[in-house]
Amino acid sequence: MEKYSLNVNKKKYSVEVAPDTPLLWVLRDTLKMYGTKYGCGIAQCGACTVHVNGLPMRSCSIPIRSVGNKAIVTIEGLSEDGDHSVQRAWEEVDVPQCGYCQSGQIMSAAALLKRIPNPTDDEINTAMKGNICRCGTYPRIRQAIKLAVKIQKS
Amino acid sequence: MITRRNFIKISGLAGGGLMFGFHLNAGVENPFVYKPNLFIEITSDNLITLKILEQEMGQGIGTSIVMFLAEELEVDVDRVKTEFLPYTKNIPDYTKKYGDCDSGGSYSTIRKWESMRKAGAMVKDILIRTAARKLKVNVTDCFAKNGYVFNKKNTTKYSYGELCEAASHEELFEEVKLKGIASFKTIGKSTPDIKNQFVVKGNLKYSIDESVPDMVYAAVILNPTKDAKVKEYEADEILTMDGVSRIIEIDSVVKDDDFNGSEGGLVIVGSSTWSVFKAKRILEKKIIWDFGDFGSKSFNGIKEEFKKALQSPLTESKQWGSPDEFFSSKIVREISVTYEVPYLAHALMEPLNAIVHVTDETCEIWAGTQSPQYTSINLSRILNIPIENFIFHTYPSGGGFGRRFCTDFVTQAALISRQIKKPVKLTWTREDEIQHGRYQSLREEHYRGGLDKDDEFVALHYKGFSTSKYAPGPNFVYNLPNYKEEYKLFDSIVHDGTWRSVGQFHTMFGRESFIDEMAHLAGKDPLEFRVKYLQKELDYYNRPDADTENDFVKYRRNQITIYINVLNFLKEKVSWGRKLPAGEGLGLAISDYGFNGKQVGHRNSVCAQVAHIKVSNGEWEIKNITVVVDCGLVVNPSGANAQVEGSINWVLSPMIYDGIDIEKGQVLPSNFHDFKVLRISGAPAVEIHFIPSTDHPNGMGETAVPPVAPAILNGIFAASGIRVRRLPIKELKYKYA
Repeated sequence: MEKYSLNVNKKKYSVEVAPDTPLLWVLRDTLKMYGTKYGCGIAQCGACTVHVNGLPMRSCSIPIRSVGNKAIVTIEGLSEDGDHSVQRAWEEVDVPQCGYCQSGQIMSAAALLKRIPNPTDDEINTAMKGNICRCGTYPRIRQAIKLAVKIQKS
Repeated sequence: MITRRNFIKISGLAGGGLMFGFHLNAGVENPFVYKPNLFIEITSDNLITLKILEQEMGQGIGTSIVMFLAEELEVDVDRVKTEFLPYTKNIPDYTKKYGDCDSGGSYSTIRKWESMRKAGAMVKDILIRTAARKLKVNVTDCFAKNGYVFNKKNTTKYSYGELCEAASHEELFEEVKLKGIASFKTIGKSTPDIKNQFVVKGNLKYSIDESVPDMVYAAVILNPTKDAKVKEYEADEILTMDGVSRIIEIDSVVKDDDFNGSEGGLVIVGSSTWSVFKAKRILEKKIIWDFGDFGSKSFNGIKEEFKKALQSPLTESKQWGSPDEFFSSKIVREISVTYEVPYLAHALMEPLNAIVHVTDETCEIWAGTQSPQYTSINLSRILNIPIENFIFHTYPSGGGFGRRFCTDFVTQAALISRQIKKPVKLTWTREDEIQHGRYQSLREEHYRGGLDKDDEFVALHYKGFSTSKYAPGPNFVYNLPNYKEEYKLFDSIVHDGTWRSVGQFHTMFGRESFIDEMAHLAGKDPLEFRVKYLQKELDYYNRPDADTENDFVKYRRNQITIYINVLNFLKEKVSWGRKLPAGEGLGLAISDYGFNGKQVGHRNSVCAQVAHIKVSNGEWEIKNITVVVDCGLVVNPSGANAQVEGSINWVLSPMIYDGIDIEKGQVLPSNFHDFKVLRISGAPAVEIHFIPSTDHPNGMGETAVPPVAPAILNGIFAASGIRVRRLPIKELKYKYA
């Protein structure tokens, strides 16, 4: 066990865990922040997507020893009141079905819109391809990303 | 020692569960709580709560149930706060009156349609009578609207909260009148899923997000074949690892049905999910297994058994006319073809998990499943603990699709808890979920069909081979004079279960592909060909001597009429028969889903789809899919459309990617890198139409699944002349895979 200090959602945390513990399990089991989900453990499904220094990363495959003081943002910290344009669009389009993959979907979409404010269909496909949804909400994810673009503009 | 009394107390603490919705006028201390029944509460501070017992897995049943209640209670959906009600000893009374609380077979909407509206109407009725008494006016002078009871003659009104204490002294009347469909304000209006406001903030709690006091974590290495056993293992190194406390063995629970059995194996118990996952990965390499008899079985082996069975006699289930005679002498042209579907995993996004605490006398469960009732009854027998001593806290599931009806993972957590005498949270890894599924069964459908000299489809011989007892036959709705249906059930080499649309996925793949092949053999239009033989079926049940009082006759008449309507509707929508560029084609399929109209006015839901397919350079793509559904009244258009969109994307995965391969009795793929599923780039454009209907509503979770594969494959044939009869498609590559 080692001690690490973490910067999650603009707050400092101190944790004591094994160095190879993935960030995902530190967030969930140690910090009890359950919005970030376990889906596959091998960076194939995107359910555990968080922002690391603004970039979308799979937290299941980031050992805690490599995190350092990088800024981690999870779904809980994406916005103050759940009113990020992507979250608002997701609600308005009624995207989630079972909802389990959607934290990861939203984090990937928010990172995409930060990088490309008005993405093309191809750019959406490329950015969102790492996030699996078994309920098949893909058409509404596309629709919601386009609505989020409009919300951001206004 | 946990006594019965403090068992309840602990349960109360940890049970909490999940709450949705708003608390209006909050802040009153100790408000009066009026409980007209087990699941509705109205408080004097004007809060309305609905406790939901149905299982939510993404099909949106929670939202539909709130809509049923809100419609009759005359409140907006967002005025109703909801919680999940645990399954306890009180629930059998509920299920007797309101129907089972397990969710499967798209049955929850059907079951709750009457009972939940009636519950709302009864409470509205008592509130109106209470108000009339307070106002000293006739009941007919009062009406309910937006959470208030109004006096028609002046502006006096009482909120439901203001009335609830007095209402508790009135008597509830069973005989209440339900609203007519024409006056619905909520039902039929697109309503966002009630849980989505929580999902988007990441604070919807699934059971994988739950923890209870004194809980330990567990991971399991399940027996790799159906009858494998651990011979020996090396535990020393693992027991020295941080966060690992012990290794125990649990036995398999062998039952006559894959629904209630459970695989045994080696369990690692520890202090966090990661520590037990990590130990599991190391321990897996330090076990010597006895792989048992199933250790010599493979996917190809069972396919060989299917082949042999073709030559031997089968169980005949249905026959009429003289099919043998027709095939031996009267058929002018015929085809004999085989449709094949592999084993398929569910790959639910939320890996299976459960927290269970078993004591000498009690069992408490925290888990997202489709079947708290079935699971509790089953586990009560396994553990020999009376069902009265069970509490099952239910959670929304991160995907169900039939997999979460089988609750082997709950049984395993219970067996672990019984041994270590603590609450245990068992989390399966993704690899466990793919390799220890309750799979969509392995299936082959053999069709032989013949045309006479006038190109009439006059004879059919069907042979179905399956490893699952579900959907033994194809429900051949096309009327033929000579028909023979045979079926053979095989022992499965892995555990079979239910997969979204319970058997209809494969039987409709065969039926709707074959009717298309026969149309082409006869040189007829596939849509008109279907309508012709449907009309013959309808004529048969409309014949003068048909027993009009017989339920099956009634159902068949309604059902076939709906089939024909849906096809004609779809024909208009897609301009069927229009000229398309070279390399493009339209493929059609239709099917129904339900329980032969039991409880739902002698009808099932019917769904037809046309896939517009393009084939070029060895690749296929979907230009779009047009869907027409008649499911009776549409409860929530947003939710119903979502289920259709999801169903199409669900079926595309096994059309494009490999199913479950098995060697030496063990499942080969293990995670999303080798059990691939559809991603966003592969999702097609979909156009959906619901035929307006005032019939009893049907569930929409599965209806749109069965026609997808045959519509696409028939479209590939129309576009390219390539006939695909086996999934996944290997003849061509999916352009957006």
